[in-house]
Amino acid sequence: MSDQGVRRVRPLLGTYVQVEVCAKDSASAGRAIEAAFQRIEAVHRSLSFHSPDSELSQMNREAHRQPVAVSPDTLAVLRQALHLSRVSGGRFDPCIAPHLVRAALLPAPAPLLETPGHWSCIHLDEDTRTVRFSQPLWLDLGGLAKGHAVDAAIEAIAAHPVERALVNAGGDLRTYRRTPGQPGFPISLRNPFNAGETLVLGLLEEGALATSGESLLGRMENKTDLSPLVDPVRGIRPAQARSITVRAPSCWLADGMTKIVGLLGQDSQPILEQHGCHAAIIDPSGEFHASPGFWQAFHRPPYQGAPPHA
Amino acid sequence: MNHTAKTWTTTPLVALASAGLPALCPPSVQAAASMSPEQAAHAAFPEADRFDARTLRLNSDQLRSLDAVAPVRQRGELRLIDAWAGSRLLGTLYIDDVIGKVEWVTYALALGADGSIRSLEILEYRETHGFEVRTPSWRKQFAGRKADTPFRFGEDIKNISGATLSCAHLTAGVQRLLTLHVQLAKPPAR
Repeated sequence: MSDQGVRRVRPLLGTYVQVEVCAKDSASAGRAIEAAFQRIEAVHRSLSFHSPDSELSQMNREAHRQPVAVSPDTLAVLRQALHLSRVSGGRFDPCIAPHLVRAALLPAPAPLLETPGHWSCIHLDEDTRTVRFSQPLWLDLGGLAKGHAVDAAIEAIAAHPVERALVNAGGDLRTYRRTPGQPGFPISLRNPFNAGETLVLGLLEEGALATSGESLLGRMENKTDLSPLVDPVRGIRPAQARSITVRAPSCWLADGMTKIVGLLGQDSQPILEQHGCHAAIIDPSGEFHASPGFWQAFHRPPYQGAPPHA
Repeated sequence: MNHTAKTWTTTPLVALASAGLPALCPPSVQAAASMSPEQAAHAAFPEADRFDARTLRLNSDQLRSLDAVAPVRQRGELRLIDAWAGSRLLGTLYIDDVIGKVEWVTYALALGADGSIRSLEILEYRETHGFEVRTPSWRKQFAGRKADTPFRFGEDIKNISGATLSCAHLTAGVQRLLTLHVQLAKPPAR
């Protein structure tokens, strides 16, 4: 008896979300896939910057005037965002949306804010499950929302009788297996020099991976010349053929860390270590820089060529 | 190699690409079934007892009018599957392609008899061209290195982590189909 693999792809979270499940029969796999998409749709509804009805948009309109009640998903993503802001000393900041709006990478929900705020203006009340801003802010939780949605989908799948699964939300991905010894999923990285080409990383057995690229976002008006990786202090800058990949125990962490590694480079090593994460940077000169332990996360021999240099 | 090294390692991309990895990623690992048009039709119209498939070639007038709704590259040839319960038309499943970032995306949009969306599924999602390094920018890195054969990547690698691909083209494609659906429902203009 062999496992039945079923794959479905739906447009959610502004990208293509792929859910792949291997189970004893295709009906079980189908049920697990539906449960996964339900969770992803719920996160999408709560945290869309583009939809005026989302909890995120509601916070951006009202949370500076009064506390806004939010769902457990939104509260979880905000908690994650604030954690990343704290550990990175503010290099990660969920309040950079005005930079992206000004560069036309995001639509303006209202007239531009006069004073851009920052992460420490966000206050969570865990008891009442409410959020309050100490000044007007535009939060954009796009990347973390994708990562959290992938984590939530994997959790939903694990509640079903499946052998192994993969959820990939446009490059934020996570794999699951019920028992050790199951094969991993082959994972490739997109070549930042050419979106049509990929580089095999190896087999990922269990864990999450996220990549932040700077170009190739596939925008219709070809607005690909600015990097979505925004430094809260220095603002937006031109995109380079560069990408940052982070391997982490959970997908929200992987996605959030790509921003921190993108801004701090190899200086992010203590933060990576503290969170059990590993990173790789493909730089514009075509070199692949891997943090200690990055390759061990994949089933593939490490490069045996020239001696490593920092 | 020292696995406990505390420093980052640097490797040229070309060296990684030539490391002979296809053997690590046998195609069988990836052999998951994608959805067929027929499966999509059954999933969208479970109460149907009959499906009629046909092909529709859009003429240049139709394509122009759809470009006015949402400009996106579309093949111009669609498959339509009408779902019936007895003599009652339940709705239509449209199979269409839009250009993604690098390849065509095939999707199935199910519209009920009232024109509302029942479901939207991606049937085929080909993210990459193939698995050989072809571009000058990558090739340039060969300078001074010994490799002179094309690099072969895995045969069927679908799980790609990279810059997020926008689904804006798909949204445009769906808008076009919704317009087309209304146009087709009208008697031909004279």
